[in-house]
Amino acid sequence: MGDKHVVRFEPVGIEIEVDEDQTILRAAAEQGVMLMHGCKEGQCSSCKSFVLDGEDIELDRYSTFALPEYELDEGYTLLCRAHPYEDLTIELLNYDEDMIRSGLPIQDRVAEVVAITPVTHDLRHLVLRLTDPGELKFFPGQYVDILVPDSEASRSFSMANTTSRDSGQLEFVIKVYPGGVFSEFLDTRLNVGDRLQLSGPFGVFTLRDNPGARIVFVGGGAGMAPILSLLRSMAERGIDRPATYYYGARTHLDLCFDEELRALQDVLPGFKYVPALSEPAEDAEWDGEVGLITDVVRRHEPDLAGADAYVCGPPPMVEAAIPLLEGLGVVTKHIYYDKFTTTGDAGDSKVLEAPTR
Amino acid sequence: MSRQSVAKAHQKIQELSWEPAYHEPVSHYGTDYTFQKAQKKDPLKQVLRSYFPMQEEKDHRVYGASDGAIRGNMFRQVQERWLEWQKLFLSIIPLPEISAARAMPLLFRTVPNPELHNGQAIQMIDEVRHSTIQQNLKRLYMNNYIDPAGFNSSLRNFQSDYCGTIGRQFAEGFITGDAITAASIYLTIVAETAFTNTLFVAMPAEAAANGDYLLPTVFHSVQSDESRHISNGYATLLMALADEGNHQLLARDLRYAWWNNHRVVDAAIGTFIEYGTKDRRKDRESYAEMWRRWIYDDYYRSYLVPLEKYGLEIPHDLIEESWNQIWNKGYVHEVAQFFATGWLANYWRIDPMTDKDFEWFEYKYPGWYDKYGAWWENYNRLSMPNGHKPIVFEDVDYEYPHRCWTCMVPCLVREDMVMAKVDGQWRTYCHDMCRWTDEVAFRPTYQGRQTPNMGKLIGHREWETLYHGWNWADVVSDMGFVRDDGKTMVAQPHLDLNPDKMWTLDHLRKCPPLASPNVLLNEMSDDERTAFAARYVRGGPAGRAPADA
Repeated sequence: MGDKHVVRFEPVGIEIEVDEDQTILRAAAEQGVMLMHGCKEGQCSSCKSFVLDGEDIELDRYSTFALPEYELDEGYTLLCRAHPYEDLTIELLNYDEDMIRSGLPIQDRVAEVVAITPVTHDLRHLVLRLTDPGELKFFPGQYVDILVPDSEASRSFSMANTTSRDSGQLEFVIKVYPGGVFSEFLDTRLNVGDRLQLSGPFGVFTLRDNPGARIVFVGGGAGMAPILSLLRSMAERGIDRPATYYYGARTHLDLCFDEELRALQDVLPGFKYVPALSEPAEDAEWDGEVGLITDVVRRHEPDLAGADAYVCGPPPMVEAAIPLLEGLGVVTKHIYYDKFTTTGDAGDSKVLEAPTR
Repeated sequence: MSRQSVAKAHQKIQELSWEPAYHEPVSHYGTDYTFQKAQKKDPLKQVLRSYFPMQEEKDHRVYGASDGAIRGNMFRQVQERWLEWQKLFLSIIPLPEISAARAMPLLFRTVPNPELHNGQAIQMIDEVRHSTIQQNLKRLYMNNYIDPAGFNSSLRNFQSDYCGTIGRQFAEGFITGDAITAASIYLTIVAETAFTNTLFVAMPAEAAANGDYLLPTVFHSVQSDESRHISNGYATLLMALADEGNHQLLARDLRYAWWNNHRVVDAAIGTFIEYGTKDRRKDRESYAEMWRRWIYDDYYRSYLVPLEKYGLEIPHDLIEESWNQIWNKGYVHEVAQFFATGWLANYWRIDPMTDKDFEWFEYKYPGWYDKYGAWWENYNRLSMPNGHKPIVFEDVDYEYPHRCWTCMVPCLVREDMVMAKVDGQWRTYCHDMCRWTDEVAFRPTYQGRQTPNMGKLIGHREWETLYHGWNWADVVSDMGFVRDDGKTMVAQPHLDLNPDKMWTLDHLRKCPPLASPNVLLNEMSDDERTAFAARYVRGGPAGRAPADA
């Protein structure tokens, strides 16, 4: 094994780690990133890409028809033949946005509870650490299924962090419902050090490449988790697209990660955080927005033509938000949403319904 | 280091007006597919700004290599066994390229996504370039190789002999039937994504091992364009998948396209690579090994299978059956043996196999000698005229096969032959999949659904029918496969150019007339036909008569 280097793919904003002994194409495949390729012999040029940043690349034998010398000089490379010897940024010329993320292997893992912290009266910040070494690879915005101990049932929860690479940790924001299968367990019986079985990642609520286009996030309740993950990922990657996050809560006691979100406004100059309360307590001081979150969006956004929208929260909120956003000019196919349902019978905390698109 | 983004430049191309504004274009090729859901982006950012300099550079290299080959006298050092097969291959391959160019406009109209039209237009230009440099390669062989006969007439040969017609069926597959079936599934998804590696990566390696470094130059130049074509196919497939109403048609087309490509490409390229080489190093990959790596592991497992979760119904059974045909049923060996049996109807010379070849075949395909060894020894024994007739008329325990009406390769794996009366004609098929293609897939309704754009397969698809009852000397004269002296045949079952060792029309005149198996089949009574089929499927391997016959 040689040294490992970080290879970052633009414009999709995916990062992988590549050992010097591996080709970039091979490492990507192992990490679930589906890159276009054909012969894997350096001849068909399907994997030809453009090196935006970095130079130290060694190539295995290839056809100079697939990569003539002048193209090599200009910065092109063949991913099926390329070994990185430093960190690289590579612009993919040949990729499909939806498919590229489809290849993350679904893993069954065991994780240990590191922390259960109340972030509001009914939202819990759950932190797990994988017991076996190695990360669980996922894209920000994706979720895992956690098996409810002593039952056949599993419940889906989105990660709030962006990677488990260094820490081996997965963070969640979970709403506690009275009688909820997992959430009651979480609230009453689960302790630090306990082990949980999980499998994943799933879901396509991931940030889509659309350089320059505005982003509107609309969230409520535990919908905080995947949106937080997307925002943290934007901050890490320096994606400074104009973005506004409308987060709806009942009272100011229902707001969480408030400080972090306000701080993100400094890191991402184009970002604005707009919390809104539907039932502000009369005695509490609140000079922010008031009303249903969809009404707040309507008041603030006369025209959203050309914008991308990401929506995650309880079903009534999602169902109200989609026609509203369409009415404000967001193209239907650019509305990405995760809708989680609370299954009536089980009174269950959060069953994330895989998005229909 | 920071560079200008190619993606941004590519974005500008979308602003060109691709859609006609002042007229409604006439559609000759329609489709039964529907495209209503989200449009896909063009996955490959190729812009003309970089396209033409790149292609110019590649063409310069091809010319440079051609020049070097002439000055280095490559054409006299190349293995003749190898180059003879190029008379067949290079007569065929420019036509699939042109068909592929013709296929692209079918997509302009039927795939409503201007974003993809750029890639399709560039593919069309690619295909014309490929055809041109391949024909130029053929011209160089003709001008410089020791035996130009067969290279000099190949545009005509292509459609008039017992092998080239199979190639024509394949080439026309790109423009046969529904526009999406033909140009997208058959051409880009299956032919270009699955089978081009054997064609354009394996063939050049084999050519180089046989002393021909010009063909690799030309074909690497071709292969390096393949990325665009793979991307075009992928984007269209994903668009089609997004509309659930298409899933039934996709399943049908993937079955048809997979099977037809397997039947034709494995037959041809398998034969060239296994029987056209003198390189018998044990560590050289056999065609079966390459197939396993490129087509099974890479195409099937890493390209097709991940699409299953998006609703693509993958023909797992057919992929396994293709492998079964290649590995257990000796498909490539059966084809090579048939090509050699019919040598007198072609326009190239087929070198007999030697002990060294036998040893390699037995090493790579255990059990090969027991099946095919005796026949190839007979081929060698009967290769020079010595009072006997060509091998097809001699008693070497080989029964001339019937043709498959769909893929046009004969029904060589005898046990798989099926027979059906379709459109008023009794037809034989090499496998039930080929019967299904003709009788079920290419019909105006499919599983109760209207499919008016499929058309149907027609024509004189069995080459032998064209010459039923003719004397062989007249057949060969009619095809034009006669050398300048007016009597020596272009085809020979050996490589010796000594006139005393070569077969002439005079030898053929003494042979029995050509009989079309299909004409005979249709002349049989029902009982005779049933008996024929029952006997046929008990025959083989290696064309042997049934053991109890």
